[in-house]
Amino acid sequence: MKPASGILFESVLVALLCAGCGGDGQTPGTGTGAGSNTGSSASDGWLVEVTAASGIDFVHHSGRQGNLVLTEIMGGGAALFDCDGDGDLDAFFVDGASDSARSEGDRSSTPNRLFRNDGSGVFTDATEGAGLAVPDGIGMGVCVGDVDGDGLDDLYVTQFGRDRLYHNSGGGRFEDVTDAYGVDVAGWSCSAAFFDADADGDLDLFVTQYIDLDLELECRDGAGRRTWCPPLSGAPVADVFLRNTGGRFVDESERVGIAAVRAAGLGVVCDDFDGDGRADVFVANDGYENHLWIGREDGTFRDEAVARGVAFNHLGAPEAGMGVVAEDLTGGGGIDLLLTHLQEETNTLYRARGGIFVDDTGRSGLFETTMAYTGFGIAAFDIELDGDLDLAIANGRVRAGIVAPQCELAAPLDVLAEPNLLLIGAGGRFADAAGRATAFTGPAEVSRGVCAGDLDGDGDVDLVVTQIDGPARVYRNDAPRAGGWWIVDAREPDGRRAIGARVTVLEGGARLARTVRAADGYVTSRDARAHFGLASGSTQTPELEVLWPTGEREQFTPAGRDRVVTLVRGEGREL
Amino acid sequence: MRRSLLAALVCLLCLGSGCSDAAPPIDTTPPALDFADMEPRVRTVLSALHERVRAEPQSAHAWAELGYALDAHAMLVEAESSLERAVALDPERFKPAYLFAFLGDLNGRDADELVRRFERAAELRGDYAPLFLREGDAMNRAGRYDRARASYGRALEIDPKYGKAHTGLGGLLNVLGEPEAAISHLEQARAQAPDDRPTLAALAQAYGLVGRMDDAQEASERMRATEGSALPHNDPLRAQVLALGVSSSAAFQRARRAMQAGDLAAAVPDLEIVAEAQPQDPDVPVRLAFVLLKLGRTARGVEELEKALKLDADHSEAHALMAQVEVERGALDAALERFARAYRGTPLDSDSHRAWGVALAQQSRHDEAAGQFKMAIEQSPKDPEPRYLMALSLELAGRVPEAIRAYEEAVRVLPAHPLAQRLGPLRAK
Repeated sequence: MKPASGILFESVLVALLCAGCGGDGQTPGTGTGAGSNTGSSASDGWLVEVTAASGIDFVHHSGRQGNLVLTEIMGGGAALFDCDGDGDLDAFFVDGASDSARSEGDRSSTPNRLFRNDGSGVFTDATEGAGLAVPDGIGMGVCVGDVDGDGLDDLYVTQFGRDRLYHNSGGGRFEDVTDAYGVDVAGWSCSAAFFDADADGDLDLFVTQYIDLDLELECRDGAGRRTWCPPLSGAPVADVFLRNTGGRFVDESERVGIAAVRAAGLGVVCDDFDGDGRADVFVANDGYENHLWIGREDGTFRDEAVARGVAFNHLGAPEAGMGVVAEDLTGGGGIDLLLTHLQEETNTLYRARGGIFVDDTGRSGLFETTMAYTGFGIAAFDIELDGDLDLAIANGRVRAGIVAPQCELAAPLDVLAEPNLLLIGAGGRFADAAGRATAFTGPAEVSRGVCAGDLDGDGDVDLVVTQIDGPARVYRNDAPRAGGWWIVDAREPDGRRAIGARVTVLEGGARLARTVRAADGYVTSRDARAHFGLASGSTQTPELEVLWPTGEREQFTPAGRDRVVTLVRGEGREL
Repeated sequence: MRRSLLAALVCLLCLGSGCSDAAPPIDTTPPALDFADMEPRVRTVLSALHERVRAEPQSAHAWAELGYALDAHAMLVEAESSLERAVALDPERFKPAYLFAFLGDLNGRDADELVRRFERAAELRGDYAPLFLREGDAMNRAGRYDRARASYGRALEIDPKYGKAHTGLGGLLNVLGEPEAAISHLEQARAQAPDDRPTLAALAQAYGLVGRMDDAQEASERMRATEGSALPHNDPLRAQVLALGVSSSAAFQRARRAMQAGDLAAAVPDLEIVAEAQPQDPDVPVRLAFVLLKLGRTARGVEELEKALKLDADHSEAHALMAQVEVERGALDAALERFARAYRGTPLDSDSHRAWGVALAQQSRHDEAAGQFKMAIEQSPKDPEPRYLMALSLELAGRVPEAIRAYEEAVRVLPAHPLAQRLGPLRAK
């Protein structure tokens, strides 16, 4: 036998001896479902699946009939929002189509469903009587926003078919105001975002449109097997911009300039990316260059994605953009962008450098963790309250691959199933933390949306994940805590949420910034409030600085940590 | 003491498992492939190669051939696994070693493993520039920027005019915060292929990074006006693999590339494969007919159009192409009837409107002809031919001021055209 070096030799031997040790190779923990998150250190229990206990029993139906139509695998919308004004997060789910109905000319959806939270993370089905009627399309996504400034969040549901707008009448009841508001968006809508495009105080709406789908088209993979068609199989289409004129939405896509460009839009996020005080829009396109619509003084938008470095990846190639988040993910103080993509592409991180972006995926560690998966939904949140943003990514292929050993799905979805990813951020790098959250990262399913929000009121961020033709899953955050927390609810003086406000925590020399928004990820809406993990070790109470959508800048000094902080414009110290 | 125990334990394990000084045995179990739903041509090819590795499990050549064929049919994980066996059985062959490294990148293997594979391939052949381009791309993606830079540099040492390597290095230099150096490389790539989208995209970004926003916007506008990547990989080994694909989708991709490169004759056999695999799709014979007609193989083209119209009697494009043939054959009434049937409010392509206009002009219906030429111009504004034809139709229709304007527009696009001579006398009138 050739001599082997000691350490390597020992490790090989240990591996040999442990090969039959059983389990998944994780250090034995204290179990995934036990106890609260305070002090829990179970290595596989940072995200504990509590779907059954939560009372959320929503199951998605794609309406598939065996002919592999692309709409079957693209939905999965969900929203976390306070539907009844009681201060906790309720849940809304968008269904696809009924299993028997999706024949030619019949696009009946099964009911979208609403669940009300009792404040502890236990939900009750509140669909009946909520007024969220069964729409006549194939449901895709949802975005949340207060369209009339009454302090209650309304819902915009996107569909393959005509989109729907539901006004929140209070007490968990809604009214379909699609016609009353003049909303007439058809085709195939996916993600949508409410934002104040023209700084007039009300919320306008950006709706991504995917492709002009040919329902008759049959597509085949490289070996000639029938498969779902790729986005390039349908003609690209233009996205839609609706301006809120007070009680009506007016389609101004032509006027503002976005109608001139066609692509296959899936994800959208709005922020002030160039720092000029005006709202901009980033659209993740599937197979086409992304768009960065920079808001201009005359109220129009100009696509500057190429010049600003976010249209393509670092090799100059368009990627299959699905979901997107816009946060300071690298600690540089700017608003970085992170997009989920197809297998054989990375999820791509664009680092902000003063309004210009650089594809910094390589340094982020995302190559090795994401290249093998098809990512859709994505949530950036601070799982362990250490001040760095972490990532939860919902995966699931769109073309057939080798069936994962842990997959329990039946054909045809088994070939699409993939495990989800939990990536822990630190200084702009993201490390795979699959072993710390095996309930989340273990199963292989066809996941789509991820919604983040504190469901049980304990101050950390929990997750809801949707999947195609399967149950939504609820995950309680039981990660060990590295610090305290704030949830910042930034409001205008009239009670409206200040969508677009930039909230910065100043603590011990560190600056953590978040934008108040509900729309990011893929076809989902998350808690719009800004959540912060506070872990600097400083004994002083942190300061809060808010850059309001009006351009005003104020500072606040809230008393105490570990609570929801409500900030009202005009009540802080002007800066 | 502990080491002795470990050594003893290892010996015990080895006794039980037949360990020796030799490398661990190579797993030559053929990959599990489900042939059931594959197209017949693909099934034939892959099952034969699969059978061969079953019969000759120690043949590196057989494993490599299976790997290439699986790669050509987009079964990348299975392909990589087959090439891994080929490389293990015969570590001295460059092609499987190189493609094993390349597929490892596509399949998301970790960076250390990729480095190992690319290094091994480079040891076998250190002068193959595409290897270093691929390594540069892989290392770039993996964030190994120093190594990526060295790899692109090596590719450019081997071939200083390797446009793809200039573009790759330019993009990397943007990431590294060296936009001026990036511009230098990217402008070299642009000089080779002014319409290469990846180059224009990286160049726009580099200009943006140095504050040349107008140049950035110009490059991005130029990029938007182009399609696809114009710079070739110049990778004959990879091209050999892609040529092995016999599925309709592989054939279609090859045909599309050939058509984009202007090599219509090369597209024919691949479109025939697609037609055979998808006999119920009327679009396929129409596409084949289009190519055949362009190549002057009119009889075969008409046969394909007839097939398409049997599958879909209202196929607009089939009628339009058939009508063009009828115009060439002088069957004007039939052609006009067919054009009308093809046109359902949505404009046809420029060639169809032009042929429609010619048919009308030949029947002295000059006003209507001018209308068709106008639609042809809208489809192909840079093509001078329909502009001159419209001008002539307007002239023959007696609409002199409009004809003069149309001639002037046409002259602007192409001054040296025989019909341009009519402008002077017309003005004199």
